[in-house]
Amino acid sequence: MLDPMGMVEIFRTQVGETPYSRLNPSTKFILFASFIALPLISASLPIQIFSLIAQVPLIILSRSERRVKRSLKASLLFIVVLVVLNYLTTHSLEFSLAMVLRLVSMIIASAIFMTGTSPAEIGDLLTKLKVPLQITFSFVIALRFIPVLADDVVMIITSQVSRGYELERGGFLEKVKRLIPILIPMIIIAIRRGHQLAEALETKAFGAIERRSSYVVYEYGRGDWILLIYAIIVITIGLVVGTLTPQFQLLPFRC
Amino acid sequence: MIEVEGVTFKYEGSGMNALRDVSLELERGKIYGVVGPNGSGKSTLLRLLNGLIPHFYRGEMKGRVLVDGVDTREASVAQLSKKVGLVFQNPEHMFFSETVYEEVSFGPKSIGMDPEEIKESVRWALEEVGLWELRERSPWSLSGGEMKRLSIACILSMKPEFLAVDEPTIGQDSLSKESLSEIFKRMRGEGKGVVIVTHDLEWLDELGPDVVFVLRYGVVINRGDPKEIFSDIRNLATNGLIPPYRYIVDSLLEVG
Repeated sequence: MLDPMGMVEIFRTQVGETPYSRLNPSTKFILFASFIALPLISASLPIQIFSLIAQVPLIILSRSERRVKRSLKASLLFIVVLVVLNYLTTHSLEFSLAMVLRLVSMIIASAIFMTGTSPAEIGDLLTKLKVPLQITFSFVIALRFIPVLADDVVMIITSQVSRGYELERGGFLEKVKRLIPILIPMIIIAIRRGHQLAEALETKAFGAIERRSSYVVYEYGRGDWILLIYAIIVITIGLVVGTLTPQFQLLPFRC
Repeated sequence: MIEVEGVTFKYEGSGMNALRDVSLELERGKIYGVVGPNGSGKSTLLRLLNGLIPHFYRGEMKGRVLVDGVDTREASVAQLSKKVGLVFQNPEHMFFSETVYEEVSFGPKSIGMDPEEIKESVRWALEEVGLWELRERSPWSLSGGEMKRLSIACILSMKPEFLAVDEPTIGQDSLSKESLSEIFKRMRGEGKGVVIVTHDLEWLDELGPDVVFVLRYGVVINRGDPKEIFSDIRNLATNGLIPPYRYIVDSLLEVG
């Protein structure tokens, strides 16, 4: 049930040639932000169901069915824990279900965004939003390094397994302890990579000037306008449904 | 003996087969060279031998691999590691202990060797690769060549019958390469089977393998006596491989 590599998949950017990937990065970000905000408008079940259904066209446009499936499969343990905890604290199956659908909806939104947006596009977008270069760059590098570190983890695990090491042996605590031979090489490799990257950046004059120039121009096409209107419609419906229903409470069990 | 019988393998999410209908037999006391261009399926073949495929790497597998008659699907990677030791291209991925000695003892402990046997096999493995004197050093403080030899010792200490090594000469200087050759020849002399995946045909020729397999697009396109394989310069060059120098010279002299 626990699939750490699948969890990594959620953050692994992987851009293919799809109608979604060709959109302007700001359109993709607005869509992403809309579908993260939509399930938060209300805790009501209809909103969560609507949020899921409204994302279907984006899944098709980004051809991210596989990615969505893998991300959801990887999050299964958290989903189960969420249902159980919510049910134990609220005794409401409907509320527990709504919370799970909220999480699922957000996972899908992230999977779609990560499938169709390259780290460079995210960086350009943050720069446009006047986010300081150091923060933008750190974020982009973090995204870029997720697949690299994920590949390292695969290699570390296969190396240790090939030495007769069994990761899955014993109870929960024993399993956690057995992660040490995986974590130590991973941390050392990550630090070494960080050091190499810092050296590489120095040699490429990173930080020499405050505002870096850019040659990339993003334009708005017909698809961008259609999807921006779609985002507005979806959020409007969400606000109307969310505020008109009596369940307009973010955390009703606290009341 | 390791028998690979009609194996076809496709990694999950990949559109094409990494290996296609590969069949081969590997015996003890011999050195096998596996050569081919990037993406030809060499590393995939190694992963098959110790059961990482299909136990760890997801995908579709047809055919079977038998290690001393045991189907790799029926045994765990840990169980198979006693028979087939796999040395990875990048040794840094396996190191986590404070000293070289502890690092080498990790495998024997994992497979449940007796304490006395562990001491004996760690010493033997470190002496085999010439690192006994450095046993108190940190693995991370070693040079590239020493790290490579340490990764081999880590596997040797488990006393496997077969040693499968992925690209042993990458990043190694000529002295280290020579030292690796000595280790592999000694393994052969001790009756172990050695399977080496490499791009370095010059080094492989000097090592003197018994059989060479040429892979391309996941298919074994050529196999047999190293002299015959290396003499076929045109075929090697078409597959993106640089033939050993002496064969190029012989070929030029023949043309001349």
